[in-house]
Amino acid sequence: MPKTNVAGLSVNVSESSDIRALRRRQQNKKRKLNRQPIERRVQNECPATRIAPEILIEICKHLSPTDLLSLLQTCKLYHTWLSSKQSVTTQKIWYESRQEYAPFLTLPSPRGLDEVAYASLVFGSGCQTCGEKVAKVYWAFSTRMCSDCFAISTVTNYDLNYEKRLLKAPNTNYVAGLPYVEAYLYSSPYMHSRTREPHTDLKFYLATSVEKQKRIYHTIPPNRRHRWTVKNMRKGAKLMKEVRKRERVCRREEMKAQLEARIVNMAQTKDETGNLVYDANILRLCPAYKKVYGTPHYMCDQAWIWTERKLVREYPRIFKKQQQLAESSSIHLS
Amino acid sequence: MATGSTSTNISELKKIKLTSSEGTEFVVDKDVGEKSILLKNMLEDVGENDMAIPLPNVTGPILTKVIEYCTHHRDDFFISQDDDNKKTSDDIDEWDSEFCKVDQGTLFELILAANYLDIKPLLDLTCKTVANMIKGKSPEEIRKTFNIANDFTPEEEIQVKRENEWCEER
Repeated sequence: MPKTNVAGLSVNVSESSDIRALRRRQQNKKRKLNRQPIERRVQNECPATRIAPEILIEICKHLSPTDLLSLLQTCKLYHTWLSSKQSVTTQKIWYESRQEYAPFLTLPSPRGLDEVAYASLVFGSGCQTCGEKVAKVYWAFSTRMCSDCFAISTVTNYDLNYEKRLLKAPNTNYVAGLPYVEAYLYSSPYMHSRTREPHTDLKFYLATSVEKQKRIYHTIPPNRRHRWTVKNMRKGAKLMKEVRKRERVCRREEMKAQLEARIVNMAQTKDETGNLVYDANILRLCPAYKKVYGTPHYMCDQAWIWTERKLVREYPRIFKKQQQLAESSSIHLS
Repeated sequence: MATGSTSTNISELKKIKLTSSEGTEFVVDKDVGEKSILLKNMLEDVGENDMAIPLPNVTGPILTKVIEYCTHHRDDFFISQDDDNKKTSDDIDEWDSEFCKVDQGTLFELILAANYLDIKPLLDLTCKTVANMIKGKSPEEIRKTFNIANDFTPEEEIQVKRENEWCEER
C-alpha cells in the first residue's frame, strides 16, 4: 500500500540516478522473464482475472447482491474470493452490499448462515434443492424450496400424531423446539392435498431434523426427558419469534413490490380519447394507498378491487389539492 | 487536504518530474501531481527537489491518461469521504465517461495506477465503470464481456449455480 511505498521510494530518490537506472533495468528484465511461461500468457488475455483482490473489493463496493451472485458464478477465482466463509473482507463486501441495496434487511444473518448464504437466500431465485424456478424462502428452515421439494422433505404434526397413535408410542415431544412452517405460509398454485383442509394448527417440520431430534431424544434417560423438552421449547419459541419477524419483513417488501406493480398498471389506464387518467405520483399520495402500503397482508385481487375503488374516489380531491399546492408555491417563488 | 490545489497563482505553479516504468520523463504542474496522495506525501517527505520521481508500477501511456485526468480535475476539491454516500454508479459526468471509453486492458491498468498513486476519485470512477459493465448481467454475459474463461467443470457449475441460483428473468 502507498504508505510503505513512500518509505521505499524516498530512499530510492536519495540514491544516485545511475543506480536507479540499473535497478530499473534489472527489474524490467525480471519482469520480462516472469512473463515467459505459457500459462501466464493465456491468463494475460483476460485483464479482469489478473486484478488484485483489493481492486476487486473496490469494484464490488458498487455492486448489488444480485450482481455479486452472478459475478461469483463466472470463474473459480471469483468464486473463491467471493464465497469465502472465513474471510472478513469477503463477508464485509456482502454485508455492505446488503446494507446498500436492501436496507429493509436490518436483521443479521440467521443462525448458521454466513453473509454469502444469506444474500443468496434472499436475492437468488429458484429451488436450492432441485433447481426448479418457482420457489419460496422458508425462514424457519433457512432455505428456498419449491412446493414439491417442500412436500417431500417435511412432515406435519398431524403425520406425527398419526404415527404416534399407530405405534402406540408414549409421546412425540421430541419435536418440541424445532422450527416449523405454519400452514398459511405453505400455499402455492400447486397446492398439496395435505393443506386443502383448513387446519390452522398444521405445522410443517423438516423431516431430517425431526429424525435427528428423535435420535437425541431416545439417548436421554426417561427421567430427564421432561426437563430437556421444556428447555428446547423455550429455545424454540425464541427462534420462532425471530423467524416470524423475518417473514414479516420480507413479505412486507414483497407486498410493496406487488402494490407498486398494480399502481403502475393503474396509471396506464386511458379514457376514451386516449389520455392517461391517473398520475402514479398522485395515486401514491392517496390515503387508500398509504393505508395498504407497507402492510404484510397479501394483496389479492379482491383486496385490490376495494383499494382501487377507494383510489378512484379519492383521486380528484388529491389531484386538486396538489394543483393548489403547486400554484401557491409558484406564486410564492415569483 | 488539497489546500494548495485550488490556487492557480502563477508563482505557485511549480513543476515536478515523474518517470514512468520505461524511463520516459513527464513534467507536470505541482498541483496536478498532488492529486495523487502518494506523490503529495512523497513531496512532503523529500521537500524541494529537482529529481525525477520514479514510478516503476506505471507505464507511459497510463501515466499520460492519469495526468490527463488530474489536469482536467485540477480545480476540483477532492473530498476524502470514507463513508461516501453517493455510491450510486450513475452519477458519472460526461467528460469522465468519455475518459473511461478505453479498452479493458487500459481500464484495469488505470485502476491499478489509481490504486498505487492513491488517487481516490480516479479509482472510484474506474471501478464504477467496471461495475457498470457487470450490472444486470448473467454469469455467461459477464464472462463474454470480460473474456473470462469458464474454468468450472460441469458438475461444479451445476453445484455453484444451485447454491446461488440466479434469476434469469430479472
